[in-house]
Amino acid sequence: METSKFKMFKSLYLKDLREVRTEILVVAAVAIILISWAYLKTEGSARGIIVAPMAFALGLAGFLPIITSFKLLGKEWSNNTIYMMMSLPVSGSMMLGSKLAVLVTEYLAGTLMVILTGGIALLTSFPDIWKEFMSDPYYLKLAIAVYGASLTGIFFIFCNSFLSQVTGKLFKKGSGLISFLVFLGVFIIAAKLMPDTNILLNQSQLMVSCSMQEMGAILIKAAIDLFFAALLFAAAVVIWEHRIEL
Amino acid sequence: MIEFRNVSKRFGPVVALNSVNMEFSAGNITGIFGPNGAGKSTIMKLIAGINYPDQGNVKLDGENPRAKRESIAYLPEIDHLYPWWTLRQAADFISTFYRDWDCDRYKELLPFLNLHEQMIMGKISKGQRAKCKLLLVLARKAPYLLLDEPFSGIDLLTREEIADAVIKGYREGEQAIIISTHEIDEIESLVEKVVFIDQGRIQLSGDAEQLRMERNKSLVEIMKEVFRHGNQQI
Repeated sequence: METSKFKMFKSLYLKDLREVRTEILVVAAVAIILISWAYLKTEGSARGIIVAPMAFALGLAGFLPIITSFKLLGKEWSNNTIYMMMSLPVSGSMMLGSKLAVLVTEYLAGTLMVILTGGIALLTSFPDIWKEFMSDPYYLKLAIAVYGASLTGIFFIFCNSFLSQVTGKLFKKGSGLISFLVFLGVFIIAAKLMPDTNILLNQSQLMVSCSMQEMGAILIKAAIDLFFAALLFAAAVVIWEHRIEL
Repeated sequence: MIEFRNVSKRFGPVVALNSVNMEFSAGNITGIFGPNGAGKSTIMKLIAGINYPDQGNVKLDGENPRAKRESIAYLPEIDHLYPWWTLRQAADFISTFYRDWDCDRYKELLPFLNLHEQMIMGKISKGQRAKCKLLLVLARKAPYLLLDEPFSGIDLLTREEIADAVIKGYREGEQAIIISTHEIDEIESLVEKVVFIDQGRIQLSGDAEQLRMERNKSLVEIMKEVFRHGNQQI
């Protein structure tokens, strides 16, 4: 039987992707129902209210993958499938990497669906917005930078979730509490090392007063997040490969 | 060859293995026998590379077992398959990871074990799940086959089916099969080598036929004798 690293990764990815289907559908349903409701119940300038359900749905699309990140790995232990996962001839980076890819898929699918639904509702309500948005390429670049930064931020959270869980699994007693403390601890340490770790707040502030310097700040912040996320991921892989026992 | 050199393993205050030395060579079916909590599953997990010794070392063909995972077909005691998987999905998944997966053998064993591909793991009986697990390891031509308590909680007829499937799949001279169990009856006739273990120590080990001849007793009787007296070494 022919095997390849790509096929192995695909198998792991598709297996876990099944676990997040419901969450993606929930975000899509919430976005469509709330935004449609706001759209149909309002007229004229009052339709600006659409940004409220859009913000809520975006929050949900960002929050659910964080919950999933704990569920995806924790379920391997609770279902005893960890016995199979650990005995597969694959590296820890492939194992955790496939789960990370699933979480990123969930985040992208959820957020893009909300942006698309909300975007259509806003553009049909305020056709001038699109013209204004496209008149200055800075806005588009800023939007992409903010979205990219949100992705690196969520990446950091996923990697922290993995590290905290595998660290917790090193202990027979109080595993959940240790995971929670490590999760919090990493945020505290990261907050001290990074000037500002509250990515979501940062983004909203930067959206209000945008300038080229702020765009640069977003990109630097995203790069720092990515660097820390890579460190956390590497640490989680080392623990997975050398310390986790069943 | 699998080698244990002065291997000790503790889980908190419990000593699972205490300075164990032993070897498993290819071409043999070895039975690891002992009561519950004797250390049988720990031996299997150490060979499978999902546990690490606190002291000593375990080598599989001279290497760390984790580096040789593609050579090991491991059947853990617990149900380790996703409950939403059909047997077909489980087979498709596992076959992606092992070059030694043998499709023909898988198809041959399906009717032999009275299984069908659309069975959902979470919706079948314990006996059927045990047979599904067995099928998924026997469908591989792995040099090392580890069966941890394959008969645990399984009815008599299914036990016979499992034992028959193991014999059917055994490639004499090429494969090492290690079966850990406290239910010797089912595999008494199957095993060529035996290891009796209790409280993390090997109490008796050797060639099954030789032990039967020397003592003029069955393995079941020998086990009773060994665990009654304890600390008897060959």
